[in-house]
This record gives sequence, structure tokens and C-alpha cells, in this order.
Amino acid sequence: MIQSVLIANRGEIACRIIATLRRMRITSIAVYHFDDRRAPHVELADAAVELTAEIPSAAYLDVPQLLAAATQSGAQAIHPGYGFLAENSGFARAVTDAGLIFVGPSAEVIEIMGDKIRATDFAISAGIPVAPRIINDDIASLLDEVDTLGYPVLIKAAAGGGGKGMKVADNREQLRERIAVARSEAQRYFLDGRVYVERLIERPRHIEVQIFGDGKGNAIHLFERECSIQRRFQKIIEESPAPNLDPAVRDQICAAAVKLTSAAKYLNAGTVEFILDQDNAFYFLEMNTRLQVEHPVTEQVTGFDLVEEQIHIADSGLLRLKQADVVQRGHAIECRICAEQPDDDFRPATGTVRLLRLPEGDEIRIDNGVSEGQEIGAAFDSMLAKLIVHSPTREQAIATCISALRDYVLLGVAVNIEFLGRIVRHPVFQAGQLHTGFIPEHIDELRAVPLEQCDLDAVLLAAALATDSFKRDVYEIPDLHAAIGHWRN
Amino acid sequence: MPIKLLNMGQAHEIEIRSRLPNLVCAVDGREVSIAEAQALSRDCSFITVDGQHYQVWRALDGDMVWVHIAGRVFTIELANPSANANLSDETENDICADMPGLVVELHSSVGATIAAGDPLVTIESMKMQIVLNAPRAGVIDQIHHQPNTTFDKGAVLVSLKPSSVQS
Repeated sequence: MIQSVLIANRGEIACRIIATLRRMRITSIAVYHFDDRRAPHVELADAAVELTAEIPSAAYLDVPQLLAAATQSGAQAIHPGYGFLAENSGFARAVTDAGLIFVGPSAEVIEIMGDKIRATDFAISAGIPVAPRIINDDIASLLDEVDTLGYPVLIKAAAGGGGKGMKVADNREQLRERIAVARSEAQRYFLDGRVYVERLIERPRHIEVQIFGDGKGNAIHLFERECSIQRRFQKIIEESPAPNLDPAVRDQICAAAVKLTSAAKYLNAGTVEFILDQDNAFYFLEMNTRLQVEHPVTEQVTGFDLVEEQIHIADSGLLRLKQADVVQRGHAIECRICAEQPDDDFRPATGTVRLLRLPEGDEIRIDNGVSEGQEIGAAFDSMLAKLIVHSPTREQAIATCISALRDYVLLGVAVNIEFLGRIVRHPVFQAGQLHTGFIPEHIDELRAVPLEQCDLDAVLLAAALATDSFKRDVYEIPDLHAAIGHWRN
Repeated sequence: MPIKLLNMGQAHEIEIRSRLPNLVCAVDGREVSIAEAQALSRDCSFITVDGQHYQVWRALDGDMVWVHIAGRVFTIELANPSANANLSDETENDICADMPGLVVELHSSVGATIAAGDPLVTIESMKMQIVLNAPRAGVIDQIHHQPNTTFDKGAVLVSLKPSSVQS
């Protein structure tokens, strides 16, 4: 029985994992870089081990230090969260070799799924549809082959993922030019210059399926998530169930995800991502061999704690959930709260959290990773927290989301909260007509509208009244005290 | 003296026209009446501008004020930084009371090392509880008023050791 888990991560996901460990009465061990010494995950964990590194992010990527921290603190398992080392097969192997349990799949499966070419090959062999693609290292013959595929096309890095290294080409000339750039970028980012070309699906939806496997070929799904609202190829709003999805198509997508999981003898939690075109044809995109950022929407609609299931599987190698036990109830939406400036091309923002007041309510869940006084630097991902709402219907979930975003106060660093509010208030979003180009397509309607005169006056007066000199001016006059009467009563 | 503010590069000016019976200010020359009622937290208040009610959250950040109003956030720059000297001055040693009141609770003690923004003392004034935070990091030199004692407007509540002494 696992009694102690080290979390090789930080931020909201570390806090979220600690919360489940606490409920399961399992000791949680956090790791941190000096810059994060006051971060919430350090405070929440039962114990915390400092990792040293010149660059803060390097601390969370330091395998020998993480293993030493686990061994010294008596952890029996390591949960990698997402990002950092979560999809690093070398780390998974090192954890296992050190005699510890890696809360995730085997190193072999991580390796296959981490390479887009190998992953799509595997999907084809398992009978899962993949988007028409061309893999050819010879540029001249590749260009000829792409002519038969038809433009526009998408250039992807074999070692890429999460939108990194993707480029669109509308014609042969662009493709020739951009493939060279894509190759050198891929070489630089992933130390692997292999790229391939895929037919670009117009107005696609991104639908993914949460799965669990026992490593022996048994697999279940926890239904789908709609993740089409993206900026810079990265999701910012996700929901479950996917709106306006033909139930027959939903069943087919979920079945395909289970088939792939089973064929891969996949162990623990994972996500199979698909692209759905306007004619309801779907194609395998990639498999994420870890817990996803957006897993809470699945937790809300199914009622299962995915981290708890992960620990259970890591411990016993058994799937205790039965497919028949899994039902979708109500509708959940997640908004990613990021330190960025949407009106300035989503440029990441830095600053110090001066004031933080989180919205509360029965239908509101917040997976938060920051606290007041915390400095938000450029060293880590810009996502600070996630707002998740769960209501009986999508319409109600949207209403809950709008009011929760309105009540979400985070001052001191620019965040995308207002922008998220503009998306969920947009009639096309509300109608559930989603595709991955939603944000660029509606960017003009998603800009901030100027303030009404009275509202602007209120903002200016509120600011003035926050300053000591103006306050003094306002309250100085002795008559005021006379008018108020005895100040304390 | 009028206060000058900048909102997205646009300059604005506010001047007090009258204080009683209602506070009336001229915003860029237009007269508006305002009333402010503070909530329990120093960061939240309710202001009424020409009969319209707003819940406002604010945070001071050097010469900038972050204002959260009706789900929107604005960063207003104070064009004359001296207007906010009390909070932005790094060398400020004394934490003073803006209004007369009563010390409710001390959050620190003499000799304690504190970080900028740490709560120092909770006071009650005009039926509001207000937490006074440290304007800078430092060491507490003196606490001038103990819990349950009253003080006058402008009284020094807590003194920090001068920065030069610490280094």
C-alpha cells in the first residue's frame, strides 16, 4: 500500500494532487526551488524538499535530485503531474529502476506516444483513423506527394506536441520555405529535426477522451472533453460533454480511444486526442500519457477523482472502475486563468499578486496555485489557476461561469479573466458552434469594449480614493467627523 | 489640490468640489457626487457614483492602483507619485493612522523581521476593521499602541528600524 508520494511538480497541479493524497491519508512530499519557497504547494504538503538549480525550472527537471528527495523522504511513489518530466520516458524508467512506483504508464508506452510518427503508426496498426499524412525526408519528392494530398497542409514536428513546432502552408512555395524553418526549429527545441506533413482539416474540433488502463489490455473511458477554444494552439477553455456532438459519433470516438488504450496495454490515466471535422469524421491526433490540465471537467461530470484512481492503479495494477459505472452528469466548463495580456497578442505578463479573492459557490471549483504576495515571474508557465464550474445544463454552466469570472479578483498581474468572460458570453460559443479557430475568427468581437462615462468616473474615483493623499483631502475636514458623529459606537 | 491619473495613456484629473453634505468631485471638469462605504476588508469597498452602485476591489502597486469593478480590471497610474508617498516610499519608517481609531490586534512584535505587505496591526475606525500592512521589508522597532487602546488621526502606530540600520 502506497503511504507516501512525492509530487515532482509545482503550481496548481501539485496543490491539486496534494489535496487528494490528504483525503486518502497518504503523506505528500513537495519539491521546490528557492524562488518557490513561499508557493502554496510547499505550504500544503506534509513535507517539502528543496531542489537547487540556477534556473528555477531546471530544479523540477533534475532527475537525480528528485530521486534523492524521494529516497530520503521515504516516498514510495512519484506523481509527475503534467509538464516538466511527466512525459519523459527516461524519468519514468529512472523512477522504476530506483525501486519506486511511477504514477503513470510504462516508459515504453511514453516513448511510442511521445513520437508523433511512431504514435500515428501505432494508431494505424490498431485500426484507428489518422489524418492523411506524408512522411518523407526528401524534400523534392515530399513536395510532389503533397500536391496529391492537396493544400493547405500542416507541418508537424515528430517530437513535438501541444502545438509546439506546428506550421501551416497554403501552397508549394510556402511549404518548401516553412518546412526548412520547421526542421531547424524542431532540431533546436526537441533536438530532433524530423517533421511530417498532414492535410489541414478546416474548422476542426478538438475532442479528447479520458482513459484508464491496467497495463494488461483492459481499458475504460471516462467520456470526452471538448477542447476547441485555443489560442496559440493551446487550450484555454474545455468542457464536458462536448456540445452538439452526435451521440453515435461520441460513442465511436470513445470506443476508438479504448481500442488504442487496450492495444497499447496502457497503464494508468491517459488522454487520446482526436480532430473532428465538419462532416463528423475523426482522426487520431496524439496520446497524452499523463493527467491532463483539463481533467477536472471529467471529474465533475463523472464524480470520480482521477488522481485517486491513478494512485489506486499505480498501487494495485487493477482497474476498480467498471465502464458501466461511468456516466456523465450535468455539464462542466473549465477556464484556464493565465498571466497574460489577450489584447496584446496574449503576451505573458509578470508581476506580484497583490490581491486574490476567489469566487465561491456549490457549482464552482477552483484549482489554484498562487497566493497573495507571490511573485509571478517568467520562469514558469503562465497558467496560475483553473476555474471549473459544474451545473445541470450547459446553459446553466455558462451562466455560473460568467458570474464566477466576474467575481474572480486577481490584482497585481495582468490575467485573461475578462477575456475568458467575453468568450463564454459570445453567442457563437453559447450556441456550441466551436472549432479550433474560434478565437482568431472572432478576435474583433472578443476585444474589450470602452467604458461608459459613469463607469469610467467610478474607476477613476476608486483609484483616487485608494491613495492616501486624496483620502486625507476627503476626510480631513473636521466637519466630516461632526457629521458622522461619534466615530465609534 | 487636484489629483492626476492616467488610464491607458489618457490623462484625467479629479478635484474635490465639496465634502458636505455629499462628496462632490469634478472628474475632468464634470461634477459627480460620490459616496464610499468600506467593507470589512480594506481592499473592498462599495462606491456610489451619481446614484450608481459599484463594488470595488483595489490594490496599490507602487505608483499604480489596480481597480476591479464589475468584473473588469483597470490599472490606473498616479501621475504625481508624491500623492502616494506614504505607501510607495521605500524608506518610510512609520506606519500611521489615517483616521482616529482603536487597535484591535497586533500581528507582529518588536524585533520581528517582516516582509513588505505583511499585516502589522488591525485597527477599527468608523466601524470598519482595517489591516495596516508593512510598506516595506524590515524589522519592527517600536509598537506605539497596544490592543484596546485608542489613537488619534495621524498617530504613529508602528515604527520600523531605518533601512540603513539594518544593513
